[in-house]
Amino acid sequence: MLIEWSDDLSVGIQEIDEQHKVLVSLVNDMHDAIHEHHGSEATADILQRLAEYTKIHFAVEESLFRIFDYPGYEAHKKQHDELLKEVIELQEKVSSGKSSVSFQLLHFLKMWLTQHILDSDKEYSEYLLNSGIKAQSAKSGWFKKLWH
Amino acid sequence: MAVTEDEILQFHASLDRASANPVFLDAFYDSFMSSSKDIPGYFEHTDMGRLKRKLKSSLHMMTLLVDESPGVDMYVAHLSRVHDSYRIPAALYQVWLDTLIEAVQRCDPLFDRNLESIWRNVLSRGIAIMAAGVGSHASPMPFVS
Repeated sequence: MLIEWSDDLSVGIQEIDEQHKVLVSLVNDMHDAIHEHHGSEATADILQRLAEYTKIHFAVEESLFRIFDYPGYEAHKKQHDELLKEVIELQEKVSSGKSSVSFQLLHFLKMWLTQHILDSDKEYSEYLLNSGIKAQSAKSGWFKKLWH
Repeated sequence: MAVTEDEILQFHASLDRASANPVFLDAFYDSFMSSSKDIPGYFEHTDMGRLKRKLKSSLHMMTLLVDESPGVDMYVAHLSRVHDSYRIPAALYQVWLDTLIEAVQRCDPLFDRNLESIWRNVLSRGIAIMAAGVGSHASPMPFVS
């Protein structure tokens, strides 16, 4: 396992934590696939799922920023756009066989994910929690249950 | 120039001494902001409190570069692309380094020429990657092409 989920990575909002756990799990799956020599098709498939899920996750976060009028929206969105652009570029290169997922790249993805959660996501979660978002929103229909 | 383990330890000890001085972060950012009339514009929408809190983790990242921890150079290259989206010129990274070292000099009572050299050596690789990222925002990722 490359990334172990811990309370340090929790942003204090259940639904966002659940989504972050999915991203962590995908990076760990990629790590396992490389270590267990599952082949480039398997890593390309996981990378594609990572890119797709990242897109969904960022869209959810950005919706919350707009709903709660988060003042750091523009700067955070810039980071999302850059992260997404890089992971999609990477996924396309790997899918087309022009690049492979290396040990360096895997650690980059680890840092990419953990640093973004620790640095930027914790900042917005503090704002959202102070603005009245529920810390424990149920996974089903969570969007309707965000408000106190 | 290669950085030794002992120099990394001296770097961290100096950073801890400087950070223990309550004026350190303000001294650095005030000096950096006033070093050029263009600089405040780059931070117009930045939460300066947050930026100050993040300085230590940014410096820690720079030491990981020296240790050649896997993936760190790619991650710093990614950060340089994010910074480039703000159109930050390469020269500002050197100004950032010079004003940081001035603040350390002011706040670390044991600062001397040797420590200055260590600070510059430790941070030079990160500064070089950040400066090399200028103009990279619209280009493909260098490490996957």
